[in-house]
Amino acid sequence: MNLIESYVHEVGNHLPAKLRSDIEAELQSLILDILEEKRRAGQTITDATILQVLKGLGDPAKVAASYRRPDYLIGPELYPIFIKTLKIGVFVISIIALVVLGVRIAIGDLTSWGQLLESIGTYFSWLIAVLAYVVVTFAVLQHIPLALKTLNKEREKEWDPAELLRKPDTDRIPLSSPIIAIIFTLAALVIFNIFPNVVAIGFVKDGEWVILASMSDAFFRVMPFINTMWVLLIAFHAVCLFQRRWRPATRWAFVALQLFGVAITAVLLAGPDIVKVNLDVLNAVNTSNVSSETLTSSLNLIVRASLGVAIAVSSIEIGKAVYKVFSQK
Amino acid sequence: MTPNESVESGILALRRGVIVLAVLSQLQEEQYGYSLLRSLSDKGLEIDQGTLYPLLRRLESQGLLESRWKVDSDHPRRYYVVSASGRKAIAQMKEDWAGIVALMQKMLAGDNGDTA
Repeated sequence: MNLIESYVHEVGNHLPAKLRSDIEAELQSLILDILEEKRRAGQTITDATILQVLKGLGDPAKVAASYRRPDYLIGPELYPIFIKTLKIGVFVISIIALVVLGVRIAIGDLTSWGQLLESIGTYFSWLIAVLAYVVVTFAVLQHIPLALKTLNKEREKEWDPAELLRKPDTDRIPLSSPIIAIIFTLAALVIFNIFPNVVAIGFVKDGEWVILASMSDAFFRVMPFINTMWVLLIAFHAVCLFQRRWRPATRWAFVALQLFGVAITAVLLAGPDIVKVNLDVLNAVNTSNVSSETLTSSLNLIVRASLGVAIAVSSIEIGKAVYKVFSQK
Repeated sequence: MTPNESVESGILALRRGVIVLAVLSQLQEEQYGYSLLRSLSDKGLEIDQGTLYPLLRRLESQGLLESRWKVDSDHPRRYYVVSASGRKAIAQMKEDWAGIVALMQKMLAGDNGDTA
């Protein structure tokens, strides 16, 4: 392979396959044109001349880059929503990490700086996992043309400054809400169904991942209903993403989903404990002599209180949605 | 950015703004990339080949140029010429350009109506 072909080939290596042969042919033609001009000017073409021409054209990677359009993993359109989602993810993980830390301190499992550092290490590995999930999800969104088209369509709408004086448009659905809801619902669906062991209070002990408390069979019996609700929620938020406005039908669908959610939560609240403690692990790490009953009832109390709060919040949301439908008639 | 760098960046932006019109205007007749580069250079507009060739491809993908490969020397060359849409675009851009030049001349002469 001669110098010119090697250079052209090197440029081609940095180009997408569909553009490669065409750009390579044109680049080769350009180099031959430059050399022909030099020949006409009386220069003898040697390897040194060719090397000088190639140097003038520049680094193959840079030449190839000039043919490529800017490509983003996560572009400027999605970046603000990406950051918002990431903040929510980091917040949720931090809360979970604090709860785990609290439980470990309560049962006397954290007795040395080494164990504390190990806990912090686990927390950072969770953060990295959340970062990876959110980045991958947004990178996929970035490369779905329909998603970007919807975003751009929204931004191209004519803006009327008089809107500043109008009452806030309560029917408008902010773009970030359905996207964030879909991302977290999808994450929950995957985690609870494919990696149920992740939904647990666990930690690394002597280089091994041990689970102290996890969801009970009573919880997993309700999973088919929870899955149905999550799938319906994803579909609902997908519709919201494209409609971008609350309509009576959307509000009724929201009310129905919330009622479904309240029913499931009520079943969990009224039923047996949904968190079970692994007695073997507790006995092995329990230096504070906390009884398994105390730990189980404390954890279930926290979970039941959270379920109660969830029902209260959903009830308020249902009330607000119903009020909106009737107040707009 | 130093004042000198700001000036250089401003000049670069001005030149970048006129390249599309300059290129389209020179392709009313078929030319290959290097001959266009030379013809622009002879007229005083120096463009780097790393700017011109990707621009030609972009204008073609936008439908403003058409191209075909021809062998009229010892190696094949890709010839570009403005398309029907390109001709319409040139007419519109020329009109806008004339307006911009008139406006800027007025402004730079300090005669933009405010001081009258």
